[in-house]
Amino acid sequence: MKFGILTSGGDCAGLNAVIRSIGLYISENIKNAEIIGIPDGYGGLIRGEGFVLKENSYSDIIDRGGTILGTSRQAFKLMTIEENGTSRLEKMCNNYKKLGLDCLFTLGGAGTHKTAALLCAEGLNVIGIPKTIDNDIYGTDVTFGFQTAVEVATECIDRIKTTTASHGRIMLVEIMGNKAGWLTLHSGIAAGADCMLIPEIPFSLKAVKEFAKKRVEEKGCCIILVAEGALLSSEAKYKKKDRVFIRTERGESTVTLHLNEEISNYTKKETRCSVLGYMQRGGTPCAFDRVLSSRLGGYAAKLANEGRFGVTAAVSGNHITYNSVFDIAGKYKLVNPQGPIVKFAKSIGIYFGEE
Amino acid sequence: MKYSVIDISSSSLSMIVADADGQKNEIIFKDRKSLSLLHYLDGKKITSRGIEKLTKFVSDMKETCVRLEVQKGYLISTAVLRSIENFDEIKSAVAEKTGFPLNFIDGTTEAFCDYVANIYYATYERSVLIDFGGKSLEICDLSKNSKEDMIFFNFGTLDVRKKFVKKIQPSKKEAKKIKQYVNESFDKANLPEKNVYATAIMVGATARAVYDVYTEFANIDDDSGSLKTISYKKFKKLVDYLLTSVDRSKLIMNNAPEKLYLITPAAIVFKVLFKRFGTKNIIVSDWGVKEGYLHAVLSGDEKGLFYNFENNTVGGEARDKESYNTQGQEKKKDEKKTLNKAEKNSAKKSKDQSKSTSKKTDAVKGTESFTQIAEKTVGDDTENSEEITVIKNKKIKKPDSPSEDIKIKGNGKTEKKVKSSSAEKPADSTKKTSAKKSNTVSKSKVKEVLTKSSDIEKSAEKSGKTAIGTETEQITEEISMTEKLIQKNKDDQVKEQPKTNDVSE
Repeated sequence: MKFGILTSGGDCAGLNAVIRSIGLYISENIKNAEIIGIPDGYGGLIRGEGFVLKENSYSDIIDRGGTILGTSRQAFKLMTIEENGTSRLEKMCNNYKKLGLDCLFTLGGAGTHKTAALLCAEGLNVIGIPKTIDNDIYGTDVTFGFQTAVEVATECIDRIKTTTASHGRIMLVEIMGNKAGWLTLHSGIAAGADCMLIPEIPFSLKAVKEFAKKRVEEKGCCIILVAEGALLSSEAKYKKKDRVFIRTERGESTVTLHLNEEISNYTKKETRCSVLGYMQRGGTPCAFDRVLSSRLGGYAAKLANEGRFGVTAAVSGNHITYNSVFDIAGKYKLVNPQGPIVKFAKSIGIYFGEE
Repeated sequence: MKYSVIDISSSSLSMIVADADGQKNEIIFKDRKSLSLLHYLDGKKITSRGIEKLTKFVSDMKETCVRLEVQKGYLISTAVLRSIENFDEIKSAVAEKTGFPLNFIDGTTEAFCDYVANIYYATYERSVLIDFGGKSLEICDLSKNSKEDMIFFNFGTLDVRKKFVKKIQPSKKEAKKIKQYVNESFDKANLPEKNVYATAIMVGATARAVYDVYTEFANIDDDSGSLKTISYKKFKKLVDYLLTSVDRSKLIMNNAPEKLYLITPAAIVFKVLFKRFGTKNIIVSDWGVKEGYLHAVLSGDEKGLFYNFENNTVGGEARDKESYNTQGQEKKKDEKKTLNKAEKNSAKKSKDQSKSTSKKTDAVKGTESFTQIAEKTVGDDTENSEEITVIKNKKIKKPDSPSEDIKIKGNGKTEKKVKSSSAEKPADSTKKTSAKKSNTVSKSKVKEVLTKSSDIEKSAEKSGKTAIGTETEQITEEISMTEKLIQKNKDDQVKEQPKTNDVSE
């Protein structure tokens, strides 16, 4: 049997641990099996590229960040548009057959799963493994890569706190998370932030300015975490492309710089912002993610061995299990503004920017 | 008092919550969770993972019921669990984890619930109800009122797909075979052909999923408050598209991913029916089994066990086991044979017997509801042939139909005057009406039950997001300037389009 593996979308810590675990399970449990690594995610499958993965190339990568297969982003909307008489989807299906694959493991986030569901729809045997630092994939309690990102963000915020306190400043720290605020929420609680602005709770500009002013007067400094996807309550009514347009007009992609300027003008205090960026994606995975990645990868290989396709591995309670890829494709798991973790954060005085 | 009904179907769990005070019934909440049970099968058994997901979703819906202060909750399952071998295991697991008793609804009752929920459409010109579910197809002439006019086929979308489709989507050849198969089935059942039905009412989750796909294909801006109509011409084009286009999977994935396997087979069968009937108007109803079932239990026409939220116990009355059909086709065939044999026997009865029957009819009319009659017909054997004679002759009083002309909108453009399809009432009808009122399904009562609610579950399902609370904020000078910018750019026809962020993670 031939098993293909690809890693798609943004990279995160733990991808290599999953590849390793899939490989080790197959070599231990499935006779006459061959593992084909597909480079650069769906891009490689579109181009029809693949190479045999030997055990010595994946057996010792559990602690390595990034992905040995490389990755790329392929917009789902472009998958079925015809280019020179054929679509990317058709190319992938044809190349799957040309490579002689019996099964394809797709390691990726919500968008990757949408394409995976499309491939399943065309008859390919696909098994997904949920990967994202944002923890926003529907149907699983947690995704690999998330915990490492929380630890990185927390450490960064810890360091920023000391310099902020020393200077009596207001500091805005931008955290990754375009659609969901999980990473901001967890790292904010862990690092003791004063205020968290997440996409699920549109914030009042006026209220945040007043809060910042009051907090810096009381404590001497103020730490405000801003998720990439955070939005003003006045922006919330606009469609996404209109919001993007407004921000582009201002020369911004996120609300952080705008907020920085507003708070600085209002409070008359030194206000700085720090964008953590790609540090949250890179580096060695933490122990938790190594274990989780290994378990998910091994379980996915087990599903393949059982002949169960069109599914994606998931965590539910304390168990590794699976969901139908069609049940989760295109769906996101967002922070519940009325949920227990937000309620808890509010109960200990963390502010979310509401009026 | 608040009631909830949760329905387990082949691709989802759906729930309605209604506020019923005896006079008025209003649906105040709807929810739906995708669960493709097809993907959790090992042979004919649902896997432990499937059972786990099912119980979790029922549990989540139960929590919602608690939050909405529901007093009684019903859990029903229709066709999908009929042929599942470990049905008892599922029933036990659900009861143990959630406390909800699972009520199994047989095909006839399902058809009746659909009928009750959509009786309003009897006011439309020569209307016929079509419910094409995972394991069955019900066709109900809304202008008729006897059980014999409800036609039930024991094949659904899942069966059609399994029988004819090798891959995920059917090929043109497979589509031809599907058409041939269903046409033969319809011919055998003497399903009416052209010029009998002018309006087709599509009900059920599959119908709504097909409609969602249709709205994107036909570029229709679906306003949740307006009547959902389909143009037959455009629908034909949609079916062709689903069979041939390279974008078909994407179209389905965008609108009904949980029904990916079933949309095209369903659309093929719907097209066959529309063509056969020659229907001019096609309407998709939001009302179905849940609404009809709720009405039926509230009016006493249907039995069912419920979960009592007030004291966390199980109440109500279980349906007879005989009316269950968990063995699939075989039992149905036997039931049909029984019915046919009984009908033949009843045809040979003497005048004396028919006289006594008519007396019995009068007595029965005052006591039996439609559902009780249906149960008897399905469950009983030939010993009760006399009662079957009664059933055959009995006409259930039609829902009150307006005698004046009714204006309806055809496809949202023209208004048509359509006369009520009801026959002229006999002279002493008022007296009879009042005597039978408590035992009949009145249109006004049904309408009360079926007040449309806001389409919360639809928008939640499409966006995949939970509702975000938004607050109106005093617009600052800066934001108002930005709004002006937007308007200016729209007027100037902005050349650059912002890049979308919809890329794979």
